[in-house]
Amino acid sequence: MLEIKELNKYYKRKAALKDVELTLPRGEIVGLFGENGAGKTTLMKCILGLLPYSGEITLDGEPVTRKNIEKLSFATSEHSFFPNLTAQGHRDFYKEHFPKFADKRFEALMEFFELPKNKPVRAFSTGQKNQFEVIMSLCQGADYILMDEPFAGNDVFNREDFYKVLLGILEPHETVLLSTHLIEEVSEFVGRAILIRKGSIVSDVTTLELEEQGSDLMSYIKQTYNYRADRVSRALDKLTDGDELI
Amino acid sequence: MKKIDLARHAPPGIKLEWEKQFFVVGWVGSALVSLGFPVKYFNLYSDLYFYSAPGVRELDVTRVMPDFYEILGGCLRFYIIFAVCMLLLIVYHYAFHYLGSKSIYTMRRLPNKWELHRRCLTLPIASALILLISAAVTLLLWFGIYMLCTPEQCLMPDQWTKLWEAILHA
Repeated sequence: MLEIKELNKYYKRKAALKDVELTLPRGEIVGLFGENGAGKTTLMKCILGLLPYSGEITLDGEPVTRKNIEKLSFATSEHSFFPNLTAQGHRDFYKEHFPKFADKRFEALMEFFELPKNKPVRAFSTGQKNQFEVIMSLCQGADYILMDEPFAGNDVFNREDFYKVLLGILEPHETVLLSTHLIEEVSEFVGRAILIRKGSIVSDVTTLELEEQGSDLMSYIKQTYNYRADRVSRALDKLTDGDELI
Repeated sequence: MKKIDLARHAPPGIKLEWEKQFFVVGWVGSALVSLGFPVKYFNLYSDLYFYSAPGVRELDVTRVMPDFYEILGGCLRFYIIFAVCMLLLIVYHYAFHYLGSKSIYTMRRLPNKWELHRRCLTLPIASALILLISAAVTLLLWFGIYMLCTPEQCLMPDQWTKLWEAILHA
């Protein structure tokens, strides 16, 4: 279980995360939603120890250290692969450093996405780079897989395929924390949604609870964020002085 | 002998060819520049002798061989300059993890916390050490030649002490 208690993060004096409390048990696909700058990336980077913070983050009861960091993997839209290395080179590197590297899964996913193994990753298309980034995070052998906007730049079919593959290959002990803006797309795949706003968790709900309430993820998020549906028409009215748009 | 795979001691994916070439050029260049010492020394050495008759060479005991460090001058300076350049590669090695991606994230979450530093520091430090050791060996070699070849009558005193001055002047 990944547990976060009283997590606070400040950039100079500006609070990026405020008293975040979160628990991620094993075997869940959790969506992390929020507008740009809400703190999603910062939260993930704090979990990974890439940023200093105050508070407590534990993995299966132990603080995150080098001893258990292999339980965490990360896929980011910023990309964390080595551009000049080939996919095969990455595989060798990961196998050397992560003893639980899932070789079979790597092989299967590379084949599924038809990614070249002996071409430097820098020569991949943006979509392929994203796929490769996610593949490495899924094959590292981690129990908690953090994905930060992993599909930015991929076409819809590509993303759709990936969600399906994700559901198919995940083991019961693997947890995915997926940060994305593509709420409607992932709503069928996530079992739980965490909403973050201005550095605070404003909502944490399972899709089952939403179903019971007769609501869906998109409406729930809009409601939580006080989304005003008439905002666009009002703005257009102002811009056109009430004239009809041609 | 087992060949060392240098790529395993450098940031993953870095092109080592340029660094290797730079090191070899620096090493060979420094060695060539250091040859200035024997050239200067043997010119001065021949000045210690005069011909008393055709084909008869005699030592001019009134002449004195200049101090070792004076002859050495800046002959070893290039070793030091290139060693510093190799050390500057450390900055490039760390910065490399921000080029084209943020591979620094992967390096910083490896179970072995020294892996990032090992890969950024090993080759620049090893290259700098090789250059500095080469400089030291060359210094001792030139000093040995100076001490063994210079006739005792023409040798200025306290050369051992002055060797340290030579190191400082290098």
